[in-house]
Amino acid sequence: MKIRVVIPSITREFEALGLEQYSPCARPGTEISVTLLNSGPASIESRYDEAVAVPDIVSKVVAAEKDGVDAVIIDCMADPGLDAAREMVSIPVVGPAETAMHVASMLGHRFSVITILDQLAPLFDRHAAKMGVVERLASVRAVNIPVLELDDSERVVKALIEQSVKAVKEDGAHVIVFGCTGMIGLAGEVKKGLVEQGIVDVPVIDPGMLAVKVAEALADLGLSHSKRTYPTPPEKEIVGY
Amino acid sequence: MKIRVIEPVISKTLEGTSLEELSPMARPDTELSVVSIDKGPASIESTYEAALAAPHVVAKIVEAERDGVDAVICNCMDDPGVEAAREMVSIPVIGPCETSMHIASMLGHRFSVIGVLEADDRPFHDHARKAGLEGKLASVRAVNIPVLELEDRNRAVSALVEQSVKAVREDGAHVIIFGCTGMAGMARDVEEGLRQQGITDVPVIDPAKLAFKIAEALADMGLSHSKRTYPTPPQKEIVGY
Repeated sequence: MKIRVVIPSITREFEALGLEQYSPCARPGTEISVTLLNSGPASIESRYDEAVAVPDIVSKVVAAEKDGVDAVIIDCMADPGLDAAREMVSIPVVGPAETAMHVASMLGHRFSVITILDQLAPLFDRHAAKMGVVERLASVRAVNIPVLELDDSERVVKALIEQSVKAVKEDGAHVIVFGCTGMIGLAGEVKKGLVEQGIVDVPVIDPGMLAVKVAEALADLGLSHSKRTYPTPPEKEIVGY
Repeated sequence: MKIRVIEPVISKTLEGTSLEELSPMARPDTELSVVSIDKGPASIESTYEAALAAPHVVAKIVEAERDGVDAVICNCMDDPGVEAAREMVSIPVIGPCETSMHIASMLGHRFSVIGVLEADDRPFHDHARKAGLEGKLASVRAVNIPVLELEDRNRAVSALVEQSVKAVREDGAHVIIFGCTGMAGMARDVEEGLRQQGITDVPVIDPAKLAFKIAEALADMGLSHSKRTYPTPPQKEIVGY
């Protein structure tokens, strides 16, 4: 099967990086492809960034369906353009935040999200509320490292462990969810760090990897979004797109 | 990977259905096994029967972990013994009801559950409320066919289509979930029946198959339940088990 990852950024380096990070998540037989945006922001760290990214995210999702892709993942924990994209295609469009929050709710009593910047906390609260899982959200914390500096993985892992320990000990988290897909691949090291600090009973969810697994599951099942919930938009004149 | 399905009933017919429906869907690297419980009810159509089954479900799940199984599914839409089992093992224990309600919530605005008997609607509301998803539960309907008579496939599919159409047209459902894992394998036929009645935009979730795919996804990621949420029970004298 074919899964495409739409990276909602114009930063050219993310293409090779994205392929490198997502390919190991696929099972044998799954072909992963990635695409960047042609218009939009260098990274998403605000609602404004999200808004300017969405139109081209949607066009990339539409292109993926035309290319015969079986499922698309939007590579960002703001799930930017998720609902809009679902209106425009019939193939599954997977949002890592929505997916991770629902699965976290299946795995434990409460979960905490560890994201990049503190100012993004309300974004996750609102998203969780929309999904019906806000009561399961113990807290949102941040490593306070911008997206474009996440390549210093040692620094990121250290900060993730520090915030995760606080989330467990102070906020009552039973599950940890990374709040940025740029943290992909780090769950093993973070879990190890938690164990070293005596916390052995808290799973750590890597939303990027989970999105691939759930996309594979949905494609296997021939299951996709309800077009009753996401109907094709009415035809009309649109300028600029 | 090894996935085991526990049929929480003493009847062998449901074992056969599971093997038949799930084997073709297994990943090439998945080894599927199906077992029934040795003591308990012939089928589950009440909370009482679920309670009789639960301790024996837990015993089979503990045995599965000992047998090196990577993830277990308790194959019944009341998720009997699932939370108790999670306390006793570290491998993922999948409940089809919880899983399908969360996935349905990711696929559409509201979902309806079509179960076996009309008297059974309270448990589905309780499961939805517990998951925080009661706002997304459009309705609970029933085919009024006992579990052990679901093998009359044409009758079951016909009743499922009838109730699903009503759920969509009268209750506002955008997604349908089968309320009994004994309905496994009927989703394609029910979707076809809906299409014949002009309903082309409503996905139908087969919870037995979905649970199986999510079990594979979690096992693939090495992700399991939070033992902080499901800690090992305190040691004490227990008679009869």
